Amino acid sequence: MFILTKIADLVQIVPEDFEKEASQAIEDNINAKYANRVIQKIGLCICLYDLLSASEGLIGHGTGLVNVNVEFRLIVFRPFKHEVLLGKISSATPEGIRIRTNFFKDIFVPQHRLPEGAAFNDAEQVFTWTTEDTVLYYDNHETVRFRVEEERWHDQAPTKATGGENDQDVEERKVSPYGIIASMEDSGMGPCLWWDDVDVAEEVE
Amino acid sequence: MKILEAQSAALTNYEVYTHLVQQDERYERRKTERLERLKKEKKGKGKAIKQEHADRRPGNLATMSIELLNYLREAPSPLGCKPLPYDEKTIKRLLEGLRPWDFTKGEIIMILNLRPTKPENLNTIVEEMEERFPGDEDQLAILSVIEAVLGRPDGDAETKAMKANANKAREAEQGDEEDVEITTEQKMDVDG
Repeated sequence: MFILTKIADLVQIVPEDFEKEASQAIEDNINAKYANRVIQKIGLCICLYDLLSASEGLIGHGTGLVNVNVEFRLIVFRPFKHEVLLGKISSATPEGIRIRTNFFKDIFVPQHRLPEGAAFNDAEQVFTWTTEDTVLYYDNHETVRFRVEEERWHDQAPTKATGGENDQDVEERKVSPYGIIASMEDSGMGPCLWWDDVDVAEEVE
Repeated sequence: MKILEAQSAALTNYEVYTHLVQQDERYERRKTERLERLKKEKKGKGKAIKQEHADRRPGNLATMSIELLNYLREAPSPLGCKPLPYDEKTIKRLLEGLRPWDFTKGEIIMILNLRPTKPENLNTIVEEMEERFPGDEDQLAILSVIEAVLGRPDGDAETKAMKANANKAREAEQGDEEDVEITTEQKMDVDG
């Protein structure tokens, strides 16, 4: 689920931070830049793991900033293909089920990646799974197991302004920079309660 | 920014968890140390000590850290168990225990993160388990190694926690909806 990524970057320390230990100032700086951000084709950055090297600090002309070249490793959320993870159902549409974790919300299980017998229940807006004798519900907020199948990357580099009134529409159609397509068709996948608790099948209406 | 190595290593949830917990402690310690130093310096001068931005970690880091720790501690994650079923030697012990079988690195990581203790759970993690490890004997032996290293989950407590979490989230959602209704009503009053 997590990997380490090695990065080289230029860190600029503002005079307000001179009071801090140098290593601490660099760490804060890196975290402020990367934590909770997505790097294309790398993943969602969590935080600094360790600092590998740092150059002497150099003060540039005209500013009081101290420039330091650093090499460091970041903890990055990037589940590998076919990895099994835990998450919660956030909503369902006829197209499929949306799953989130506390820190990552762009996981989608398309309808064709649900087990055979799964269908969308229009009245309750949830998916159900009909087996031989029971109907099981993919209720919202249920903890589920899913398998990572594909990744979707959307580079959000600024594009040329279209100008005029359409600007706002463009803004609203933003897609998430990093999304995961998952499946729940194998046995053992889907709500954990179905598999971990034997009695639960009888409790479910 | 220059990416030197896109993936230099893989980490287990436990390693990320310890890193975050230690980071939290470090920031906390730094804050108290600084406040104490300031208190000493300003003794007798009667000035109030303000918290400054230097005390705090970057906001995006705080969000990330809190959300991720919540996720890692939530049932049925083994990291939510007390006492913690992992220590520094856990990974080594598990690798030694599972040496007779041929697991991929990804499978080992998933075993560490998810702690499968039933054949059905192991089946989701291990690809083509029936071909690679045929027979109940092998599978039960694998599960007993996992259980010996990582312990046995408290199934009842976990299902209870999962149900409670789901119910809580549902209640919160309903609460939100009610709030929205109230505000629209209020708006209508203002208009009228």
